[in-house]
Amino acid sequence: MLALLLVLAGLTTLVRSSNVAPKTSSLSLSSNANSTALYCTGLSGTTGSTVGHFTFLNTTDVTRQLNVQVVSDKGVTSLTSIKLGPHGDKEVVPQSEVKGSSFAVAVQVNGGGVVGEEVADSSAEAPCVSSGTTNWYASGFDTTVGSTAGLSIYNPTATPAVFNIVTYSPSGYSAPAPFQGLAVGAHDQTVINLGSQIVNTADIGVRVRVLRGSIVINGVQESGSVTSFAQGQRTLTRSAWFPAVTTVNNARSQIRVVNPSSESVEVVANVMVANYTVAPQDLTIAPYASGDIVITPNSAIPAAGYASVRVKASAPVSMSLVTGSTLGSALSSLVAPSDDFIVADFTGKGFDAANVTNTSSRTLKVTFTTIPGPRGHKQTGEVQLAPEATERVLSVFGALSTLKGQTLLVTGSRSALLVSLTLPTTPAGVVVVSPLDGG
Amino acid sequence: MENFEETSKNRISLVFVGPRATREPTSLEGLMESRAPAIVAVVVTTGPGPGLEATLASLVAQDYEELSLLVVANGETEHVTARVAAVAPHAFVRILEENRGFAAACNEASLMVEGSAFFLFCHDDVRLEPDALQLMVEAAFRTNAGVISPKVVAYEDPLVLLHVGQTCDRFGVVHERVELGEIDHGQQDLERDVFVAPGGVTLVRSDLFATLRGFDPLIPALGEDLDLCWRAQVAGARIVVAPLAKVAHRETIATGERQVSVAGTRRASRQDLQRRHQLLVVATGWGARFTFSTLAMLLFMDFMEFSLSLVGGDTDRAGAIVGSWRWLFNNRKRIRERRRQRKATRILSDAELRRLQVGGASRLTRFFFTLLRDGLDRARGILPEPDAEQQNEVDNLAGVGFGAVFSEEEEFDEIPESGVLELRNRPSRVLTSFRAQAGFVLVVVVLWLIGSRNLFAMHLPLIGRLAPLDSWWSTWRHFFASWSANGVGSGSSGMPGYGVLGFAGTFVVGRMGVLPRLALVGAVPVGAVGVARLLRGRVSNRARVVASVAYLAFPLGVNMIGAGRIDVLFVIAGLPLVVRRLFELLCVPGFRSGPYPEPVPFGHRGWRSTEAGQRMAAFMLVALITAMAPATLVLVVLIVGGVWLARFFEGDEFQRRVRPWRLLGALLFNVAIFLLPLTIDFFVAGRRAFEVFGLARGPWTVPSFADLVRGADGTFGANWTGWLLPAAAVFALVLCRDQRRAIATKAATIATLSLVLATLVAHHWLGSFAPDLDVLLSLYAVMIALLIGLGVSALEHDLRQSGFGWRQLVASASVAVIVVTIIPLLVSFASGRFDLPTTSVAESLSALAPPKAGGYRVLWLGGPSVLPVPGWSVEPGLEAATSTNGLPGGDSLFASPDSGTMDKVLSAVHSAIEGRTVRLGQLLASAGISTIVVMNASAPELAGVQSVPLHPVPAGLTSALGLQTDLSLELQTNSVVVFANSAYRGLVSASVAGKTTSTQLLVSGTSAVAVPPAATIRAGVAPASAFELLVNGTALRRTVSDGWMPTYAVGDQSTTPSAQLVMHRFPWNGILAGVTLGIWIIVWLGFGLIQRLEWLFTGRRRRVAVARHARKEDRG
Repeated sequence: MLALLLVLAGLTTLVRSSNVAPKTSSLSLSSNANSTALYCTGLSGTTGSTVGHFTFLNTTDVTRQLNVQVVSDKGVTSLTSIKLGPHGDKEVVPQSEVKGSSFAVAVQVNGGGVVGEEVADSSAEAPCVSSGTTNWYASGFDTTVGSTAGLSIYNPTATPAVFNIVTYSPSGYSAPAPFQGLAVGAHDQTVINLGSQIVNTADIGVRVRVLRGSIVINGVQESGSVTSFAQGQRTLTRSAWFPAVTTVNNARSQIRVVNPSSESVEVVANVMVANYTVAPQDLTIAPYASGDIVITPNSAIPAAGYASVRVKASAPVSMSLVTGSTLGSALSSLVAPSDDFIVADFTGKGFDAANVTNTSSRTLKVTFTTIPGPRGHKQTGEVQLAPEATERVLSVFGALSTLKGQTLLVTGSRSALLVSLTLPTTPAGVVVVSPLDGG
Repeated sequence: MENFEETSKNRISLVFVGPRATREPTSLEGLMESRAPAIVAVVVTTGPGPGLEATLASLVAQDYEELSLLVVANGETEHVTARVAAVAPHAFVRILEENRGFAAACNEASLMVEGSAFFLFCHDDVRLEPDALQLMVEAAFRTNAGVISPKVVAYEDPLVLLHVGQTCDRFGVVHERVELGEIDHGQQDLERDVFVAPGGVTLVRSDLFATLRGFDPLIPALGEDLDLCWRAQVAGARIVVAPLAKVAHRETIATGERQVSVAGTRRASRQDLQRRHQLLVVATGWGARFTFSTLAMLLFMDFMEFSLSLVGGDTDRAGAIVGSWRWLFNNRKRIRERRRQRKATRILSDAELRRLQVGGASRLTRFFFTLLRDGLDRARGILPEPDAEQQNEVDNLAGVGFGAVFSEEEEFDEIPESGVLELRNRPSRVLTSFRAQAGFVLVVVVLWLIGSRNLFAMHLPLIGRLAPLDSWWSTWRHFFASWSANGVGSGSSGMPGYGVLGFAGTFVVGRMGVLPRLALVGAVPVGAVGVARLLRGRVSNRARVVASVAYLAFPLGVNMIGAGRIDVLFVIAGLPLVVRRLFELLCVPGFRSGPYPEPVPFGHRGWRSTEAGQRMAAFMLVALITAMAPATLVLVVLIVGGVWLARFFEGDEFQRRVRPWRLLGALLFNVAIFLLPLTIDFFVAGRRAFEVFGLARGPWTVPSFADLVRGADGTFGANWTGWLLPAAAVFALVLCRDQRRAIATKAATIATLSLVLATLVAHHWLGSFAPDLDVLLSLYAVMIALLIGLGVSALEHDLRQSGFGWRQLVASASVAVIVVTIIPLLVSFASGRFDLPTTSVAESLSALAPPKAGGYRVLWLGGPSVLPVPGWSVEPGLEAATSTNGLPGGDSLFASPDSGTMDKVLSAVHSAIEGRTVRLGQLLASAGISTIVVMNASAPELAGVQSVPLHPVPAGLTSALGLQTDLSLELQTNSVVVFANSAYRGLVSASVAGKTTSTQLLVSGTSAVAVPPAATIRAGVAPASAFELLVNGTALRRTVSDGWMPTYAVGDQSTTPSAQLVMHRFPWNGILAGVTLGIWIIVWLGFGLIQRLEWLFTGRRRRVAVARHARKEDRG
C-alpha cells in the first residue's frame, strides 16, 4: 500500500507545471476589467499624409469614462476626459490638442470594452493597443527614393524605456550605432526615421528589442502618395494567412519575409485563387536577411480578384503584405488569429472585401453581431466555416451592403478566426486594413 | 587364505564368516533373542590405499555381530587381496578392472549383496571406533533414519572435529556444521537431522539405497554423498548424524594427498568435479519452477565469479565455471532421466526440502566475508587458503590438544580466517565502546562548530525568517499588542510566536540578536540529540550515534540554515522529541515499557509521570513548536495517522491499548487552548484559515519528487548523494525484525505519508491547504534517521539470526551508504556558514524610501520560500506582504492567517496579473505603498561568492506590473524587480478641495503635525475603527473611504491646525495573551515547580483531614 502510494506520488513527476503567464482575454472586450488603457501612435502634424485622428468606440452597453492624454514629440501633453455612451464613439484630433510633429495618445478607461483606431487622412488605419511590448518585429519597409519609413514609438509606462533597433535587408543584417541604446521617457513619444541609417533600401525588416520598460510601436511607411501603418508582430511565426491578397491587373502584391535567425529559411506560399490551381511559390531566405514572394504580377498566378495565400516557413519569421499600384505601396502587417474581432468602418468608405477565415483544421462557428448606433438595433448572423475556408462577411449581411458606417463584432468559437479587410480602391484590394482586436 | 573367498562377478549370497558373539545367551534372552540386522560394510579402495589396513582392522574390531566385509578394489589389484587377507581374513574382495569411481564401486557392491539391512559405505582411509557401527545402527532404528553419519574427527588428532553431518544451500554448496579445527568437547554430541552425510563412513538402509538406485555413476568422486543424501531427502528419508559414533577420516583426496584417478576424470581438477557435480544436483534436485529460478541465480553468480576470475587472470576458476555448465549441457539426457527418477520417488515438496537447508548462498557468503576480512585476492583464491595455512600450523603443532584451550595467545579463541559463521556472529567493534562513541560525538561536534564558524559573527542577511528581532521587551509587547502593522494594519491577536521568542529571550538576558544565531548553529544538533533521545532504550548507543549523524547529514537541516528558515529549524530541533512523546502515548512497541503510574491529582508530586502528565507534556511541546511553525500540527496528524495506518496493515500487540484519534482530538483541542490567540485568528480567517500552515508555492519552484525523497529543498543534497540516506532507510526497513520491524513499519508509513502529502502540496492539489513543504520534510527527516538507527540495530541483532543472502548484501550497502553520506556534509562545512548568503536582495535595495520621507509601505511580492517576511497568498507561487518604513523587522515576524484589509491589496495585485487594471499604483496608493519589490531569489547571485536558487514569481506578474501606467521600473535583475509607485501620496495624506494631488503626512502616532485647513485626511491604516484623528486636541468625525480607509475632514480654520493620529482599542488582545500565558504558567507549575510548593495544595487537605480525624476521635 505504502509502495503504491509512493509510486503514485512518483508518477506525479510526469505532471509538470511550468511557469507560463496566463492568457488574458482581449482587454478591450473584457467588460469586467477595472481599468484599461489604449495607446496609439503614428499620426503626424498638421501637414503630411499621416494627418488624421484617433477614434474610440465603446462596445459595451454602459457609459465609459476616458481620460485621454495626447502627447506630442515635443513633450507637450494634454489631458482631457470624455464620456462614451453605450456603443458610442468619439474622435480625438491630436493637433487640436497639442502642438508637435507627431503624436501619440494614451487613454485610460474606467472599465473594459472600449477600442480605438487611428486613421490617417489617406485612409491608413491602425488599431490602438492596450499594452506595450518588449519585442517587436516588422518587415516590408522601403527607404528607396520616394519612400520614407519610420517607427513611431510611445512609452506608455512610468518607466523610461531603452531599446535597440536592428534591421534586415536582402543584403543582410545591420545594427546602426545610432539605433542602439535609444531611450524614450515615461509617457513620451518619438519617431525613428529608418531612412537616416538604412538608405535607399527596399524590403527592410526591423526588430526592436526593449531593454528596459515597454513601448508601443507603430511602423509608418510612406510610398509615393500612399501612407500605411504597420503594427508589426510581437512574436515570430512559422505560418501565416493572407486571405485577401489582390491579384487584379495593375495592382502589386508581395509577401515580404524577414528571417532573423542564423539559419536559412525555406518559405512556401500556397496561393488559392477561385477556380484555379496555382503551384506553390517558394523562397529561400538567407540568415539575417529578408526576401519577398511576388503574388501580383506573377505569370504563374492568374489575375482573378482576391487570392487567399497561406505561407509556411521552416523557421519562425516575420511577414507582411505589401500591396500597391502605380501610386505607391501600402504595408500591412500580419494579423494573428483570434476569437473575436471588431470590424468598424472608420473611414466611412465601407469595405471592398471583408472576409472571415477559419485557420484551423476543424469547423469553426462564427457569429456576427452588429453594434448599433444610438438609434440602431442589433442584428446577428451565424455561419459555420469549414476548415481553412474563407467566407465573405457581406454574404452574411447582404442588407448591409458594404458595411458602410457599420460596426460589427465577429466572434469565433475558437481562437482560429481571421478577419481581413480591404478598402474600396482602384485597382481593387491595394489598401488592406486591420480589424480591431483590442490587442 | 582358506576363509578368503574371491567373489565372482555374479550375485552372491552372503555367508557370514565374521566373528560371532562369544557369550552364551541367557534363557530369557534366548526367548527374546532376535538377530541384529545384517550389515555389509563396503570398503572401496583405490590405488595404494595407505590407510586400508587400518580401516579394515577397525571394521574387524567392531563389536557389531552381523557385519560382513566387502572390499571393492577399484582398478588397482596389486597386493590388495593379500593386504585384506592379512587384516580381515573373512572379508570378501571384489576387484574391478577399471576405476569407475567410488559411486560405481558401491553400486557394484550393492548388486552383489542380498539380505542385508544396511550398507556401510567406507572409504579406505577411515578408522572407526569399535562401537561406532553399533551406535549408528541404534541411531538408525531410534530415529528411523535412512542414512546415518557418524561424527568424523581428524585422523591424526581425534580431538579435532571434521564433520558432524553437513548442510547445504539451495545451490548445492555444502556447509559445515562445525568450525575449522573445532575441538570436540562433546558439544556436538546431539543426535540430529542433517542434510548431508559426509562421505567416509555412511550407513545406508539397503531398501532406500535400492529405491534410489544407488549412487549416481555420473558422480565418481566429490559430491556423491551430497547427491545421495539430496535424493534420499526428496524420497522422504531422514539423514541423521549419530555423534556418539566416532570415525577418524584421513581425507586423502580432499586434502590432495591422493589424486582423483577415476576413469574419464583424469583431466578434471577437483574444482571442476566439485562444480559440475553441484550443478548436476541443483539441476535435478528441484521441481521445475524452483529449478529454473535457482539455476538462473546460480548462472548469475557464476557469471559474476567468472568475470572476476577473468579480471584476476584466474583461468582455472573461469574454466571450471564454463566447464561445469558445458558438462551439464552435455549430460542433458541423463539429467532428464534423473528428473524422471526424482519425480517417481518424490515425497517432499521443494518448500519442505528448502526448509531443511541453510538460507542464502554459501559460496557467495564465503567469498563475501573473505573479501571483507582478507581482501580481494584471498577471496578470489589467489592467496593460499587460510585453512590450509591453518592446517599447516596445526600439523606443525602435531595436533591441538586439550591444553591448547588454555593458550595465552590472543588469537587463539578467534578462529581466524573464513569462518563464515564466526564472522557473521562476531559483532563489529566499531563504535561499541563508550570511549569510542564519546570521541566520535566530540569529533562531530567540533566539525559542526568548524562548519558553522562564520555563523557566530557574520552579519545575518535579511532572508528567510532572519529579520532582526526587536528588543526583548518589544517582542513581548508584540504578543500583547492590540494592533500590528502587518499588511495595512491589523487588530488581530498577537501571534504566540512572539511569546515564544520573548520567553527564549529571557534565557539570553534579552540579547535577542543571539537567538537567530543560536538557532542557525544549534537547531540541527539539538534535533540530532533529540533523535538520540528518541532511540534511547530502543537501540544500542552506537545505533543512536549513527542515527543522530544521519539527522545531521540530512539535506533539510543544512538547506534550512542556508535559507535562514528559523521557523523550520525550530521544528527540526524539536520534532524528534514530539515523535518520542507521541510514540509513547500511542504505545508504539518499545516506546513504553509498562503502564503509567496510578493517577495523582494535578500539581502533586508524580503527576508529570502519570498518563495525564505525559499527555500534557506532549501537548505543550507540540504547542510550543506550533507557535513558531503552525504546520507542526499537520505533522502531528501525520504521526498519529501513520501509526494507525501502519497498525491497520501490520498490527502489533499494543494497538488496542490506545485510541489514536481520541488522542489526536485531545491534542488538537489542548494545543488550540495553549495557542488561543492563534486559534481565534484561525477561526476568523475564513477562506484563508488554512494558510496558517503555509502558503502555496508555485509548482514550478517546488522540489521535484526526487528532491522530496532526498529531502533536498535547496542546493545541498540535490545530487546523487542525496539518495544515500533514504536508501539506507529502505535497507533498514527490510532488515528489521520483531519489535524493530514494528517501529520501522510505522516510521516508514509516516515518512511515506509525509512524502505523499508533500507531493500533493507541491502540485497544489489541495487548494489553499498547503502546509509548509520544509516542515513536512522535517518529519520525513526524523523518520529517515529513526529508520537508520533501527537499521544499525538490525545489523547488530537481526542480521545474525538469518542465513547469508540478500540481507547481508543490503546490510553492507547500508553501512557503506551511511559512511559515504558523511562526505557531502563535510564538504558543506567548507563555507563556514552552510552557504547562508552574506547579503540579501532586500538589504541591497537602497531605493525603497520614497523621495519625500514620511510614512510609507513596501509591498513585497515573491514566492513564499523567498520573501523575508510572512504574508498572504495572492495565487499559488505568489505571496504578498508589506513592511512599514523600510525593511521588515521584528514586528513582522509572524502574519495572522486573517488577512483582513490586506485583501484589498491582494485583490489589486491579482487584478493586475489578470490584466484587469492598468492603475495598480493608484489602487495601492491608498495603503501608502510607495514601492513594490518583486523577488525571484532571496539573495543576489554573486559570482564566486554566493549562489542562490531562483524561485521565480508567476510569469505574468512582472510584465503585468510593467504595463501599469503608474508604476515605474526602478531596478531589474535576475533576483529582484523594483517598481516605484508614482501614485504614492503617503501613508497618511491630506488633500485640499480643488487640488488633485495629495500631501503626505507623517504618521508616527505620537507627535502632532500641521495639516492644511479644510483638508481631507486619509489614513492608510486599518482597521478604521481603531484610529481617531485629534485636531488641536479634538477628535474629528471619522468616515470610511474605499471601504476601509479612515477619512477625516478638517474644518476651515484661520490657523494651521495641528493633527495627531491616535489608536484607541480596548485591549482584548492583551487580555487574551495574558490568559494564554496564565494557562501556560499554571500547567508548567503543575509539572515541577509546584512540587516545591506542595504545601500550598496539600496543606489545606491535610488540615481538613486532621480536623476530620479529630472529629471522629471526638465521636468515638
